[in-house]
Amino acid sequence: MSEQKLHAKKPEKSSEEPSARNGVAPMIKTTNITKWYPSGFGRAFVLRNINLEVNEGEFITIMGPSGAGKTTLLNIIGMLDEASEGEYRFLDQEAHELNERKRAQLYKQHIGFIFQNYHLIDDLTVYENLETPLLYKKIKGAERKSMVCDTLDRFQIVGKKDLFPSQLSGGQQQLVGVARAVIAKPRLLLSDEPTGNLHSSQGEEIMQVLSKLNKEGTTIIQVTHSERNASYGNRIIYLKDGWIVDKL
Amino acid sequence: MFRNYLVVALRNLLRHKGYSFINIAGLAVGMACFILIVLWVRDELSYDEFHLNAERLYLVTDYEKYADGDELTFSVNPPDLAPTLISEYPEIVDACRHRIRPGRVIRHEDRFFGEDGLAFADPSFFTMFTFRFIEGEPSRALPSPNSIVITQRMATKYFGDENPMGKTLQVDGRVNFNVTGVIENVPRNSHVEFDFVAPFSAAKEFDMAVDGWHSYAYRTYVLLAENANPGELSGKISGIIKRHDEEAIVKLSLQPVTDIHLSEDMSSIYLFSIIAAFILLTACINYMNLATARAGKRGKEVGLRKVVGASRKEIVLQFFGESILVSLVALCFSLLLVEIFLPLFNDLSAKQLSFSLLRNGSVILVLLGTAVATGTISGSYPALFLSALTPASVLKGSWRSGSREAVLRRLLVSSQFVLSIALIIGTVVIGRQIHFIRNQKLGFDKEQVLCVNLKGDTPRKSELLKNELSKTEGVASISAVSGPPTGLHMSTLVQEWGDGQVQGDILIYRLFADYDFARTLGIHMAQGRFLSQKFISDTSRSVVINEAAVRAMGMESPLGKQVLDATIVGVVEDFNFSSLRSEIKPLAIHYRPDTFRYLLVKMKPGDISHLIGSLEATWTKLVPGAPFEYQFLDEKIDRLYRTDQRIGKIINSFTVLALFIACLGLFGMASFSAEQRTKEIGIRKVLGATVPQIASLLIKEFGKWVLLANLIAWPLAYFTMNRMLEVYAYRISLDVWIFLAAGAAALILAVATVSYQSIKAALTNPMETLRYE
Repeated sequence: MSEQKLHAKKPEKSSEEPSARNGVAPMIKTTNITKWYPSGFGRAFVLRNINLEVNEGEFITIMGPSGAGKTTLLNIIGMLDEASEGEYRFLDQEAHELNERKRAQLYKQHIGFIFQNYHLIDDLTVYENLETPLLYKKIKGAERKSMVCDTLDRFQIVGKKDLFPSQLSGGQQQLVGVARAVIAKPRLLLSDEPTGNLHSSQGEEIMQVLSKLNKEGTTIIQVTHSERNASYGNRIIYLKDGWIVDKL
Repeated sequence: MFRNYLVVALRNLLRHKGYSFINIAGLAVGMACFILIVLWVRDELSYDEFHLNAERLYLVTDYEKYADGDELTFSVNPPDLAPTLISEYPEIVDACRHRIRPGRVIRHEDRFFGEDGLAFADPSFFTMFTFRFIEGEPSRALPSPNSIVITQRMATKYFGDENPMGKTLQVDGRVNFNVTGVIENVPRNSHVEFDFVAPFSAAKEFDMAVDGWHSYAYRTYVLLAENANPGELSGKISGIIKRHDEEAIVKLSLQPVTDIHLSEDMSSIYLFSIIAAFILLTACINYMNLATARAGKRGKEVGLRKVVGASRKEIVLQFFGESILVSLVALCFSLLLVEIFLPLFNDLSAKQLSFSLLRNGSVILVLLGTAVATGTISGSYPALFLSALTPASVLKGSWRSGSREAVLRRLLVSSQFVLSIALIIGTVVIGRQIHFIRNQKLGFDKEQVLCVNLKGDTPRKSELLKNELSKTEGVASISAVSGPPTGLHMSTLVQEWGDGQVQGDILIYRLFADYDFARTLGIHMAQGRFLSQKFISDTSRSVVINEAAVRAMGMESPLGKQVLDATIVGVVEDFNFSSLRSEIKPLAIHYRPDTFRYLLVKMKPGDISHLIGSLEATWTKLVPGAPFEYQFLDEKIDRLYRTDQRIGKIINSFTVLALFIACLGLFGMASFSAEQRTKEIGIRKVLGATVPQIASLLIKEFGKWVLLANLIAWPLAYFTMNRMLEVYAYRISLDVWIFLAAGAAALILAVATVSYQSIKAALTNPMETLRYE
């Protein structure tokens, strides 16, 4: 990670006002985001000049072949990763100018993540996995308990609350993964091939959950290979070799 | 939050029972060692701290340097020193003389015992030092010349349940003392040990000089004023004896009473403390190693926790919390181990350490501190390293605990083996040195010799006893001597010899023996003859010296020359008359029956217990009021090296434990390595590698590092052992084979440890391991 920081240029301050649509600033605005890794004497580019705007309430799908930079873009949006160059504005904050701790605070507050491999903590039960984000947000006992119970209820996994991830099927694990991502009521949900490891009926179920969440107001950005999954969203962004393209 | 961490930590412990066992067992054993050594060190450091004046009490010590280059430090002084110090130096508040006279027979009515614990001391002894009185009081403990203070133990021994105050104790059948005080038994951590204290003024009844500047017989303690500067005062009193005795060459200085016990033994304190720290460190390293080995899995957890909002600080706390939890669990087990092994350790170290959590709260704090420190050290690597992982890198799935950790792990394993190998070398060297010393030719025959103590008034009957005991069947010969050749305490500063002019200062040790001494111990003559009954002059005007004395005085033909107011009639070949730690010193042997305190009885081979029985019968007939006490000479000599043997044994045990912990760690590492390489092993097997080839692949991986450990351990052990051996005048050489053998032993042990995992991995069917990919 240190290399990136070493090479990162101080982005010039944009004098442009954020472009507004319907008078509301977009939730996400990236300007000329570029990501590269040092490779030999040169650089291996993963993302090039990505300009993207996402408004609150959208359900966006990022598609593209393997190695196109989909996950990297998602990670940059989720502030798990840093762009090499370019500007990133998230909820009226210049995210690229924040230090790691501030950025962490920002995503902690507003963003939920769903992974292809579910990524639950093996040594914790379903209940405890759901509880963990709330612990880090320092939410007090009683309130935390009611939030966890609500979520268990909403995702209909009350019966599984004392089981460990290894005792669940893939679909159930991912359902817990989604539940964990939304338990703290994030405004943005980032979802990296959430159904990639599931068979279709399980995948369908997860997509319906996501769609429902979107209708309730959560902004969602998903990465997927599946056209079918993409159809749940309202906009598709195609990535190829690090560029945004009109069509694949 | 805390509960969440605790739950994860506990489930982790339970889920990975093998790792948990290695961690906890290693840490528990390490901590138990640490606790035992801390108890031991604490006890050693506590000597004489119980005196209320401890900070201000000093012992006057003496230093002499002789013409032959030899030096001597001792701590007995002339009787007139103490009063002079009090009157001439305002910084000295009080002073007292103290001397133990062993070999008394003490009687109360019909009970009598041989006693070695009768001390003579100025009454101020009890106000300067703090011994607790059960009866009587410190300031009036010894009001008259015939008063005596006894310990509780003696009160019970002589008077049973009766009140001892005012009762009479008769010493050596001629001097009566009245008990004027009973004190608690002298604490074990006191440098002076005694059972009776009689007033200094009574010393003259026992043939001790009570004034003058010429006989060095009394330990002299001083109590300094609050603001006195002991260093400065040392300088001031340095030449005080010389002012009163022109011939004296002694220089005085002050030694804190609290340092007396450790003045000789400080090195073992350091040694043991270092070993304790290293054993604990070894256990910590196990933890670190296994933690990094599992970093892959834990790394994912770190990434996840960060994604759901954990800050780095929280992750660091979590990992430290986990390792501290493990070390607290280990602490509980270690307390159990200490409880079990304390008696054994007491046996080894000849101490009476006790361990009670309830009794001293400070111990609990120390232990908790130790556990937290151990946990912090153990947890430092996973906490600081893993917490730095960024979620993006871990969750992408591309992250693996890389080669950096692998190298670190192996370095850590190596450092564990450095300690183990150094300890093995230490064990071997100390063992061989002790063996060497015990089998060293002493210059006399120590086998089949009985040392019979002449106590009470029996020395006066030594002639009679010797003659009658000699008639016993099985006795080869008997010699009466002032002391057995296991350390002579009397010595004289000799300044003139030969033609009578002043020649320089040399210290000659004095032994008083009868005519049969050389014959009884099989000592050979180098020149002339031994003292003999046939020459009337031998009763007072003849002396036999040893070769060392001849060399020290630089005599070419010593026979007929004068020394110590006597004519040299013979020279004995050098023999060791004290510990082999020191070279053979100059010695002069005279005939002086009034000083005889032992009978050396040389026995013919045969039924020794029967012989001792008949000796005792004859003895009791001749001197019915005196106990028959004896020791075997060879055992008495062995006892000179008891401390060394003890240290040897303790180091032995620690070596075993250090090896155990290191092997535990290695076992864990090997199983991890095998697990991590299952796929590689599978592929290799598919490609045609045989089982031995694969096993050796894994063994080599660790063998290399154990070899590296040797390279570091050897010089380390060499220097340490050289220093340890320096105290011996007669010592073994540090042969190369010891080092090679220790290295080989460690290597064999390491290979044996790793083999199990390696062979298991090599035997696995590749189908099983590759199927999962």
